[in-house]
Order: sequence, then structure tokens, then C-alpha cells
Amino acid sequence: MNRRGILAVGILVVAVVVWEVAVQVADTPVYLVPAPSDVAGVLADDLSSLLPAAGVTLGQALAGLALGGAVGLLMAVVITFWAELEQGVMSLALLIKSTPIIAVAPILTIWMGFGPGPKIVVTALLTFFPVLINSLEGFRSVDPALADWFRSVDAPSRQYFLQARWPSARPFLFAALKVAAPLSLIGAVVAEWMGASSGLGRQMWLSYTNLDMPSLFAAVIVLTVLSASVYRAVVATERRTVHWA
Amino acid sequence: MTAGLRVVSLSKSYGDPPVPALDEIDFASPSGSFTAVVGASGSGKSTLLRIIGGLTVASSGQVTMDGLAPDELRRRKAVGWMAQRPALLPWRRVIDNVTLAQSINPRPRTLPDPDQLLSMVGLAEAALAYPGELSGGMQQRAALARTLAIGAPLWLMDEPFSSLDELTRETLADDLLDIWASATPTVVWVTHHIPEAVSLADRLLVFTPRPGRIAGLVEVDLPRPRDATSGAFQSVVREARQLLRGAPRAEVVA
Repeated sequence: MNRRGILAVGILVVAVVVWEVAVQVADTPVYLVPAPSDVAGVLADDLSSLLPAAGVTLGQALAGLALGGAVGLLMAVVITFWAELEQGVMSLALLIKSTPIIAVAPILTIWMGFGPGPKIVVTALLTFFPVLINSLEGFRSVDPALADWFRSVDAPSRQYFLQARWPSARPFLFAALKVAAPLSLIGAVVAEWMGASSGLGRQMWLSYTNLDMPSLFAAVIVLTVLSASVYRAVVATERRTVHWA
Repeated sequence: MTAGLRVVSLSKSYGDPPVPALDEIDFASPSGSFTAVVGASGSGKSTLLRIIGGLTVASSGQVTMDGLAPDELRRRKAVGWMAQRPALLPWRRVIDNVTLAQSINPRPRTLPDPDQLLSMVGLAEAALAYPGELSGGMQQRAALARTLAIGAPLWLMDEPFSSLDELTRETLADDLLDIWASATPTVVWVTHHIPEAVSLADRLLVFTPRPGRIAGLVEVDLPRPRDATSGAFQSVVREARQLLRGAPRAEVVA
């Protein structure tokens, strides 16, 4: 590990130690702030239930991200090919994006039940917009000199899209995914919080209603690790597929 | 039908109120000739090239190549366009850049073999490299191969060597002349580098800026390869320089 890596781990360790000492010294009740050691205990004991819950949440988040990403991408493609639709499509997108998720999620649960449906829809609502904005910008980011060359050979617009616009947009798509992928987990958890039969959000909600702070913190830590891993996966995929940037 | 490139009282202005960029440009280049357009920045040289290539629409006047308008030329894939920057597709290997040029908007005509083209421009070894892995000179060579790949009868080149160092520029220019001599397309070559123009072209169209006007025509009646240190070469360079600085037309040998 290099110097920066050691420093990063060091800072984390110091933060945890300070937290532990502060809780012990102040003798804070465990239903307010649990010590890291309490949380670690729960993590160890409940891993067998936390991991399947994390799996459920991750699955719903990725399904929602796929749906939201597909819708955002499709909107961007439509606007790119038919510029006159831009205002209409963007207004609609803004309207959908601006609906308060916290109000929509319970309604979706009433409509669709406690299954994965509402989680996927909420996640899609949260993630389609960054994908739409970034891919639209990406499709328009073709190097002007390259655009000139494509025009000089009278390339049909379908070819121009596939050979110039789409590859040019790929770095932008990954920028969108870096935001949208961690966001998709938040979406799934929020939706689960509103009513679910399984998942990390449900675990958090249960712990919360029981004032079981160590369990709540343990679930939060699992979610954080999951979110960071998803982000890392996007970065790693980008390095492999956008080799020219 | 008139053979070669004809530009008739071509004008272009931009904006509102209109600012003229090109003013009444008239010239004709025979098929297979090499015409250099020289002038300072802002003299509308690039605009002229874009209009000939059908990338920009003229305000008035006419451009035809063998009787065909620019848009028709593009549709027939008759324009070999090469710009200041190589503008290769960075996500495709060098060889794939060349083959893409052939597969986009394909026209029924016999096309040169991509591998042969790459050896012709000295890039046989780099066929599988990505453009980002090549030097500026090699990238411009790849762009040249891509231009050759479509077998266009008209080459429009906008300062393709301007971002290269002197040495690379000279070797590329030599190679280019060899290729031109075998393919004999009609070339319009924009540059602000007078010695480069004199070493390459059959004749120079000297532009004065704002708005771009033709100050004069300089025939380069020297055998190739040309020796840039010879007295005859130097006197042609001097002649073009004087025109650029606004010498009276009487001195022009046209």
C-alpha cells in the first residue's frame, strides 16, 4: 500500500477510535449512539441475515438502475435524432424528476404491494435523470473535426450515431453511472423503508422502530460498503471499456 | 460539363449585420492539379475549403467539380477531407479507421487495399495501434491513408501539417507528393506557410484578409522534387510574400 493508502486507512482508524472512546467516556446510552464495538458485534452475529437482505436490496437497485438508465438513454436518443422534441421531452423529464420520491413511494407501495415493484420504480425515478442529461451531452460532444469528416463522406445519421455519437458519449455515460449507481441503492432503501417484506431498508426500519441502534448502524455500514463497491465496479468497467480517454 | 474545379464569384458573409468573410472569389483548377491557398489567419481560406467540400453553404456564387455541386460531390463520396487535426476515431484501431472510411456510405468503385495504404504512408507496423498511441505525425499519416481509402478525385486539405514539427512535415510532404503523383486527384491545399505551398503546389492563390479576396495567382513552374534553397524557389516565395503584403497587381506573374 502506498503512502496515501496508509493515510486513508489511518484516518478511518483514528475516527473509529475517537468514536469508541467518546462513547465509553461519556457513557452514552446504547439506544442513542452505539459504540463501534457494539456495532461490530451485531455485524458479526447478524451477517447471515444482513447479507441476504443486502442481496435483495442490491438486486432491486440494479433492476431499477437498468430501467431508469434505459429510459434516460432512450429519451436522449430520441432528442438526438429529433431535436424538435427536445423541449417537450425535457419538460416531461423535469416534471417526473421533480416529484418528491418520499411522497410517491408510499403510493407506489399501495398500488404495487410489498414486492420489488415499487422499489424498482422509485430507483428508476431517481436514476433516469442523470443518465438522460449526461448521455444527451455525450451525444453532442463529438469532436467538431470528427463531425466534419463524417459529413465529408456523407455518413447517414444512423452510422454517425453508432460510429461517432455513441462512442463519444461513453465517458459521459460512465460519469452518469458513477452518480446513478450509488443513488440506486438509496432509492431501493427509501422504497423499502415505506413497506417491504425484505431488504436492508426493511431491516433498518425494524431496528429503528425497536430503537435497536447497533443493528441500525450495522445495516447502514453494510449499505455503505455496498454503495462504495458498486461505485468501484463502475470505475473498473470504465477503465476497461473507455481505454482511449 | 466542365472538367476540374470551378469557383465562380463566390461570397460568404456571417452574422447579422453580415460580416463578409469571402468576397467574389473566382478561380479554376484543372483536374489533377495541385492548388495551394495561402493567406494570413482570418483570410477566409478555411471557409473557402469548407464551401468547396459542402460543409458550409455559400452566401452567393457557385462551386462545381466536373460540373457537380458540393453536396452532390459529398453524396458521391468524391471529397477527401483532411483537416488540421487528424480527427481519427480514437476508439478504433488505425486499420479500422481506414476500413470505416470505405464502409460508410459505400459507392460502387474499386477501392485501394487498406493494408497497402498503410504501408504506403509508412504505417504498416502501426495498423493495430490505437490513434492515441501514435505521435502527431503518425496520426496525420493515418488520416492521409483514410483520405486515400475512399479514392476521392478531390482532396481538400486544411493545413494538415500545421501542427507537425519541421522535419516530420518535410518527410510527410515528400510522401504526399509521391502519392498525389500516382493518384492524381485535384488538390486544394490551405496553408499559411508559403515555402510549404511553393514546394508542393502547381500554383498559389494568395488571399488577403477581411474579407478574403484573391490578391493574385502565382504559378510555380519548377520541376519536382523542388529544392527550397534554389534561387528560382526563393524568387517564387518572394513573389508570393509581396502579394500577401499587398504589392500592386502589376507585379504579379500570373
